[in-house]
Amino acid sequence: METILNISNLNKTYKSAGRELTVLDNINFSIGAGSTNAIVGPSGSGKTTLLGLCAGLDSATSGIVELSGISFTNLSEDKRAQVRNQYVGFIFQNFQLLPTLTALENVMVPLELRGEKNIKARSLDLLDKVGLADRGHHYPAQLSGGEQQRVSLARAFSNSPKILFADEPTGNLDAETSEKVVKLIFDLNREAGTTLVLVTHDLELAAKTQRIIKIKGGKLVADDKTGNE
Amino acid sequence: MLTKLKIASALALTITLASCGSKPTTTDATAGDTTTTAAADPSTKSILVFGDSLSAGYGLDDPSESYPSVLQTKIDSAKLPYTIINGGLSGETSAGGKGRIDWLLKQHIDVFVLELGANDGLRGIPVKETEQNLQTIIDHLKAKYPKAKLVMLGMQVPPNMGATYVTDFKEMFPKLATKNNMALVPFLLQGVGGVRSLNQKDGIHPTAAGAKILASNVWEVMKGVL
Amino acid sequence: MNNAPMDNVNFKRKINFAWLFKMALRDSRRNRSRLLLFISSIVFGIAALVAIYSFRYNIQNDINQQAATLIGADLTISGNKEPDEKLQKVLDKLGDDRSQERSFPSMVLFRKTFSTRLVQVKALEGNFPYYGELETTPVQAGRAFKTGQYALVDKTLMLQFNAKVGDSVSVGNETFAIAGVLNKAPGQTGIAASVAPLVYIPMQYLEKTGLITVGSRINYSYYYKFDKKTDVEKLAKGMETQLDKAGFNYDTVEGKKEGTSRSFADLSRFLSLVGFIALLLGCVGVASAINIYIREKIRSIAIMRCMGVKASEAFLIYLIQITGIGLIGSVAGAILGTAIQHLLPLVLKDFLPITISVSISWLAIGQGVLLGLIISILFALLPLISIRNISPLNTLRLSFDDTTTIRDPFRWLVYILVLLFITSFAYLQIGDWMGAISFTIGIAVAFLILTAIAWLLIRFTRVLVMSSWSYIWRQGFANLYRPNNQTIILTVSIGLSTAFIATLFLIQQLLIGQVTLSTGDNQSNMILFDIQTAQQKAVADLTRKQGLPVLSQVPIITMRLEKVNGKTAADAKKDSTLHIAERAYAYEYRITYRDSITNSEKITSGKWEAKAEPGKDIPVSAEERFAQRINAKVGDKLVFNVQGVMMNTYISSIRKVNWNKVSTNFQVVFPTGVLEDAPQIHVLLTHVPNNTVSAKYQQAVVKQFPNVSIIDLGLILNVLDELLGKIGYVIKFMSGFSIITGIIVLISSVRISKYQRIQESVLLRTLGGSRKQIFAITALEYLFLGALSALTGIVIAIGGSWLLAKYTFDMPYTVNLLPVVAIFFIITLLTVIIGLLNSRGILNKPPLEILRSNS
Repeated sequence: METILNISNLNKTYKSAGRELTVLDNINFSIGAGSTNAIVGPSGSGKTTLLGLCAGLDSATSGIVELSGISFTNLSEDKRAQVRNQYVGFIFQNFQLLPTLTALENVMVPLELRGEKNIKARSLDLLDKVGLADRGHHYPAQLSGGEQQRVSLARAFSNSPKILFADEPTGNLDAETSEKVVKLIFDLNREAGTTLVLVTHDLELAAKTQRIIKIKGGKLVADDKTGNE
Repeated sequence: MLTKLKIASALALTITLASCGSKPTTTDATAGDTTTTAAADPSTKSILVFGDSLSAGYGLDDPSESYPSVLQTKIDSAKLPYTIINGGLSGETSAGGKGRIDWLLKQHIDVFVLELGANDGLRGIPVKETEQNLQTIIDHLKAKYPKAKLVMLGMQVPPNMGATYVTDFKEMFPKLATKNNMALVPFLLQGVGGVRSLNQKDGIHPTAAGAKILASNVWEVMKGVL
Repeated sequence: MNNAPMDNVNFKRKINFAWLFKMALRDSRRNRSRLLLFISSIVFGIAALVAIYSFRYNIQNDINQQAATLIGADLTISGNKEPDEKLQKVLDKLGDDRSQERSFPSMVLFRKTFSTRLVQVKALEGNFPYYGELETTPVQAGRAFKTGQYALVDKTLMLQFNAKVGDSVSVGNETFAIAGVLNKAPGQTGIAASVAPLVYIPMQYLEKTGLITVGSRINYSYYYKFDKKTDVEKLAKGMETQLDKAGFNYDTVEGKKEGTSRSFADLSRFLSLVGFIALLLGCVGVASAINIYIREKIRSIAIMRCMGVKASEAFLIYLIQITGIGLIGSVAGAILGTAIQHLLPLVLKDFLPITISVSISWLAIGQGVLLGLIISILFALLPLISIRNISPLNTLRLSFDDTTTIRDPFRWLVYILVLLFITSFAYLQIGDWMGAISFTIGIAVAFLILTAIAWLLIRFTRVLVMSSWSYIWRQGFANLYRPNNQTIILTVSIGLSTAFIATLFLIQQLLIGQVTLSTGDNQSNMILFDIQTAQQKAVADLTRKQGLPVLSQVPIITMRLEKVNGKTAADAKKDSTLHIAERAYAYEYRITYRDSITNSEKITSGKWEAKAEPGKDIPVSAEERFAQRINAKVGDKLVFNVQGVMMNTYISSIRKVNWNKVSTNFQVVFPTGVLEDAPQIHVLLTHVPNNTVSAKYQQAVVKQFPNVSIIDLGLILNVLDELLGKIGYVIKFMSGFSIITGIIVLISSVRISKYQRIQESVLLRTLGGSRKQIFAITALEYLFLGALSALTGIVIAIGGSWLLAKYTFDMPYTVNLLPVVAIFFIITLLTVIIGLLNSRGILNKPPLEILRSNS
């Protein structure tokens, strides 16, 4: 299995009031293409920071983040943005849909940004897959939390990403909706052959992935295979 | 805007306060000075020139250039014991003179020279009205100083005022002179009126040279009176 | 699946502008109402600007047209004697069309009533007037009277003598049929017209009247019309010496225009100021509204960044959006401005005794829209460039990390652009670079003062807040310095708005104070002079019997100044160190006596004395400028020669006189008790409501008191009044409009803070803070901010308006404190109210709902 994400000697420190705060301390791991992974840990363990660095939303203090063979180390924010646009899909805890765009338009954005063709048809197709074909013209505020997360899912898959980062995707959803959304994530993921990196403190959710990486106090403390296929 | 305003209101005021134009006239403290002189020296007799801007010397650079002052030099060189009180007031009309005469008659007068009416004429005031006013002034004088000798200075208005008015106006002076037994200078501005070089830019008031001719016109008659 | 090689990433992706426009449009869709504040700043700012520009262009046009009709020809040459042969030759060759006129005073006879009256006869030949008309009733008479032995007679004169069209009037030896009533003639708005009424006759009959002979006093006027291309002004200037030598002078349209334009200079300058301030208010409004807007957009931008939108693309999306909205706002503003300029005079027609011509000024609209667009972009740039620094990390955790933007070099570029813009705009308004730079520096200084005040406030409240205070007070004050505080931004925007509003208000008050002349019912418009003491009572009685008010009746005594502190004219001439103007001794002073000062006078030093005590020096009051001319102060001794009687006086007081009012004003005023017996004439001021009453009154006065002369200032005052009415109205209206803009800007500035206080207030609420407590904390914070900013703004405004009054308007400065205090309270109150309205939403909803919707 090829490596899609390679993290080595990753450190992240923040300077706050003259004091250095180490959030991530020498993290090393790599993720194979098409695998499903969970990063777990208690609040404040640094897992969200790690996600941000993996996705190229932030730059590391030291160490290497390599996404699909591209190192983020010397890339400018704008270049990282383009890498994100082409390789990365996102799912957020609070959905992060553009409030001023309809569900359909939200799904279309990454494709439009790439200047692709048949955008509308492909987006409608994706909305159909998440079961929202008829809600395409609704604005996020008019959708329920579950529906919003499904739209965000459709958006995440719209640019056929190589890797999908999900930050507590069920954090704002009730149990029943969570279940549906989780199922959808895994189904779509399998169908597209996308690599999934899931950040959560929900161990039940983490258990559905193939691998669980545990972070505590900024350090990688465990890296276990779950045996899932 | 403000400048304009000031000009406009200033104009309005100028008109209010100075009927026939009162430009600065350097002049004469004569009236006042002579008052004191007259009182101090009983041997001198006084001549009151009661008139308007022509007597006041309107527009002249020096008060000594007005015709009453020139007249004074003629009197002095004739060694006559008379001092002239210049009672000229720019813009004065016959009606104004009527109201003012008592103030000036507080001092003793031996000879009274009446030079009023020109402003009435320029303003088109009915001749009858002017005549009455002048008569009243003469009456006041006669009542207070019955012995005073009287001289009437005649005036004319320019022909553009219309023949009837011009004639009536011109004839008023001899009429009053005869009636009140006054010596008459038929036309004060004789030889000056209408002659551009002897008048100031406004075409009405004589220059210093013109004033000299005025003084001669008066002197011709006055020397006989004194 | 392939491991994508690095070169597969298309780093050189072209910017897809079509998509950016699409995104800009989409993004604006759900927020258009939120852009209302931004739009309203632009709309009102631009509306004010367009309305001001339109007013200005229209008024300018009015002046140009008025100026031409003022003299009725391109060039007028006149003198009071016949031109010599040489000049005559020149005069005959000038121009493309020429007319001539002889004018002189004469007694005319109305044959029906057989009454005579002094008039100004004007004998006319040619097509004069070339601009405007001899306005007559019937209309055609103005031109037709030249065809036969006809005359045009002044309206008042017709009324006075009960004359009708068709009656006869004799001028000299000739009799003319009255062809029409003369209502208005070019060049006859001046004083000359009112001294003697006009009678026009055709020149071909002049000779026959017999009035032109030796000794006649005639004015010769020559009127010329030129083809458009001739530079008349230059031509006339070239002839100046020749004309001067011959005793002639000239008048051109250009010259007249200058005279009239000068009277509009202050208005023009004020309008520039209003335009400038409206625009600056718009700028502050745009900057703060966009600030709010971008703050709200941080999340959306972060999401877009996550999706792969480049920083420059995100910036462009919003730049496009703001430009579009700015354009819409500017166009809306231009339409509103034009509408206001058109509608207001219509609505107010019945209340205003004036007409302001209205026409659409495309130039004004174009300028307005362009400026609106520039401001929208320029002042939105500051918040917009910060978009570039919004990190996609914001999708994971919201943080305001503003420190990076301060070091952004583009920020400084924007500052420079803003300064350049303000300077250039000021230059366009004022027309000189020095002034423009001063203005810009002034505004920069105001900005810095406010920033400094805010900074000091932050520093001092930190020290000041004491633990002994109640929680609410501590919390309210602490809000001023705690992190995320809004002290600087609010102090600056509230302060600047206040400063602009107050400056405008102060200058407006000063100007209005200066232009209030007005012929209200209590303002005199007719002056009777030469009333003799004996006639005084009878004239007043007659006036009252005619139903007219005796507005004032004053005695006037003519006297000369004899000595100043013992120095005579001769002394003053010899010794220039005395600084006594020689002319001061040459005047025949017209002086009055009374026991009190009038309402157009103010004592500036010394004490007013009402009555003279017998045997002592007489206390007199000297007018300020008169005192200056004779270099005298309170206590100095003056000797006046009151027609032969010397009067010893001393200056007991110095007065300031408002010469703008049509009333009898005097350089020297005597007290009662000394001049009662002196020869004097009386002046009576009254107000006549219209021409008919005026004619009837004049007729009665002339009949009973032939020596009394009357000046009807009605016409002159009407013209002036109309002018001042226009000016005052425009001033009031435009500043009112700008003040509205200011208030809108103020509202949008305070609205910014909504987003800064929400989280905290909600937290307090969640922790169990009562509505009352949160209310009190918020109120305290805004009260303090509002009061301090307003106060600083007002202090800046007082300084600014003083400088403006002194250097730009050249008028005396006074501050009317009451309205200033009112402005202070209104602005403070407004700040608190808007601040409280901001938190109303928080107070009325359950905290959770707000926390959710803002997460």
